[in-house]
Amino acid sequence: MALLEVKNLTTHYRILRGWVRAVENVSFNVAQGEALGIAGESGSGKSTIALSLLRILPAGGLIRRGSILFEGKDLISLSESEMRQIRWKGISIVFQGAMNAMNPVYRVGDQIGEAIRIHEPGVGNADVNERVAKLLETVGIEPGRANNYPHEFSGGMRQRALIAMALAANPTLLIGDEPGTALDVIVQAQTLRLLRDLKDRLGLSMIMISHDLSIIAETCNKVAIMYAGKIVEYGDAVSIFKNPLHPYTQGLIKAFPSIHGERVRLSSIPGQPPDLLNPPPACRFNPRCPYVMDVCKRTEPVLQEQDKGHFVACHLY
Amino acid sequence: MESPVKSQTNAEPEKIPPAEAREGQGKKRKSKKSGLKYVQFETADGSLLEGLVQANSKGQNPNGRDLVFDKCYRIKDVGKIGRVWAVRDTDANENESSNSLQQFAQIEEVEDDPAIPKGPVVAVDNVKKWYPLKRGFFETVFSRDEMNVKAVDEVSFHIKRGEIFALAGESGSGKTTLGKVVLRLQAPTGGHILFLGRDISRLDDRGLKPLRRQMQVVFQDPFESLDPRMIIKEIIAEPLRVQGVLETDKDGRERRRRIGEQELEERVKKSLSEVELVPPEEFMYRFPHEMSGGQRQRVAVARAFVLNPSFVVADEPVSMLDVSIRAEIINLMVDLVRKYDASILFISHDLALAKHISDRIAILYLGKMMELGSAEAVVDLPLHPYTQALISAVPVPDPESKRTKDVISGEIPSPVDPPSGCRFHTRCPYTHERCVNEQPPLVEVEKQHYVACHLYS
Repeated sequence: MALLEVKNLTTHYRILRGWVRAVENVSFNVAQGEALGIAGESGSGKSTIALSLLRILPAGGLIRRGSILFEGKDLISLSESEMRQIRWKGISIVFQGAMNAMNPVYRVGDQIGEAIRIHEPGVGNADVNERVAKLLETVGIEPGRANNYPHEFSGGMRQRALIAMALAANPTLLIGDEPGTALDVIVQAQTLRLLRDLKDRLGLSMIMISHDLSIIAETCNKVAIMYAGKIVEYGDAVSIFKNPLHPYTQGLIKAFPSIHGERVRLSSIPGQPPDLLNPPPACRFNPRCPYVMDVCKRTEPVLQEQDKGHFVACHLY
Repeated sequence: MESPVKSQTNAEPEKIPPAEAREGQGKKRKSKKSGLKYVQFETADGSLLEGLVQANSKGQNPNGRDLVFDKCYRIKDVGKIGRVWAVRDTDANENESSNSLQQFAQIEEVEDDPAIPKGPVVAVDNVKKWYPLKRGFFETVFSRDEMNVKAVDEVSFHIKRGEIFALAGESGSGKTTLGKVVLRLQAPTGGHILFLGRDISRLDDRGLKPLRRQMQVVFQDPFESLDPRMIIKEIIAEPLRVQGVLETDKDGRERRRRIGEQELEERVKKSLSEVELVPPEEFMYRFPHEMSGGQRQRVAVARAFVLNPSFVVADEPVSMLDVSIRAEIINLMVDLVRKYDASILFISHDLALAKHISDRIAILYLGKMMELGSAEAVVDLPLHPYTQALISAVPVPDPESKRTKDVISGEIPSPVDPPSGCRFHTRCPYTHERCVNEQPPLVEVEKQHYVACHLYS
């Protein structure tokens, strides 16, 4: 059985002008030890999925339908105090923006220790310190640096410290929300390698959220491509990157300048992501799609299995 | 010091005594001590000569003042014809240290030859930008050493007409600082910047203002670079209002005139259509917050190109945008550059992008130039170990090529106290003793491919 089963998740944000349909009918599974990548433009709802899983949506955000089964329990029906037991121990998250995710007036070690103290109240001070030191070592930071403040860390070290913090309560599922975006290529490569190592060493399951397909290609074995709040393509990483079926996925992959290969004029997807207050009818990609047909404007395509384990929501198939 | 142009105009050639006789005449005349001019010379076959020219003696300096950029010259003893593109006063010290330079005996103006390529738009020569470090009271009293952040340290390059020149490196490598110094938004600590053949490294704001028409900038963040209280029309019109329109009057002189409202509106409309914000009427009266990130960056591009500049600095223009929109903005800029024959200094950490759009790439590390060459050469056949590390760290959108290669460890060291010798030696896999002690010079290893590494010298 899958570790995490998300079925028909629908999350909307209430604003004055109506409901912003950020996530609509999204379903996916994450098995033990598996890494799922969720890719899409900004505004496609990928971060909202992460926040829904942990039920830490900002004010106005509401899960309107669907179920999130984590280790057999439906997270949506849990009370707030039961949910607290899941956060950090069950599912933890590495937020984007390593620069701002830490409290500047507390020592790094104390911030990591705080997660342990809250989730395992019985642990003594000496044990906490020992575990913090171990965690820092796991992510490649000298344990002595636990007494430093965040400003004394470089960008890459802060990102590592955040990963250490996310691992503090031994979670089974780690969510990375744009974990490499604000970093330089070399530090980004180091961070991604660390995450891959951790996944293999600790048997972690991961959900990587990124707009950068190459980051997902490097870390994940399953991929979900999101467009305007819906999954348009879902499946095995190799088959999605080698044989993208949805026109949006094809455009997204083509828009990436490859460092190898000939110099070419870059191609792009014309148009803009839709307004989620009033999304286009039927297939939400139809205003930008090069292969648009009449049926695309009338009926909504459903996610269907095209090849083995490769799902796509498009009328072309 | 005044610009060298002026100092030369005042000097009457015949009355200048020989160099030795003038020594010790006080600081004011020091720059003229040698009477030599440093000249870079691009010949028709593209090779570069540099040397010192006796600037004040008869016949060698056609205009009796400064050697003027963009006219054809012949170096008599070498026998080559080309264009002079770097002229500056050399003082005695530089003269001695530059013994590798050729001594041009004579240089004379010849008829303009369109076959010889035009000189560069920007030439940067040994530019330094150091920021003094603020220190506490006790340190100021008890310690004499000055501490400086060496953001840019002795960098030289030039950008040709119509060229897209990319500056790449990690954050902290000094690429943004260099961009600001080249635009003279900040004054360099040392070295010279020649813009369209004019030394602008010591110009004041008033002297720079007419040149601003020719040099523009596109910033990284379209959410912060546009004034939220101005409508798009005003944002694009502002450079036109400030700079006015250039017109040539009856005597053939250029004159600046204020722009009328109607003309202004037309120019704004034209420039909005150029960046594909059509119909322009729909966008002209919007505020920046009513537009998406991609549209805002288009406005920033329109604003940069509205004065028809010959040089634009684009500082990470697409790093804040979504991948699917990036290509559009980049293509737009490339098209505008081709259309107006402008040059771009493209600052980016994305080497894949730089490879696809730029003609040449320079790699910066801790304020030093590590490698310089054509885009294909630098990315496909990188020579410097740092460039190699940068390129192997770029993620590839292919799940089957999982990165097995080594990623170099560590992070960029502090520029306050940069490593001795080669600045990369603390992270380099090939470090040997020489790297620790000796700074490698930038040498041409292959044709037009320069690298600063002891492995190649």
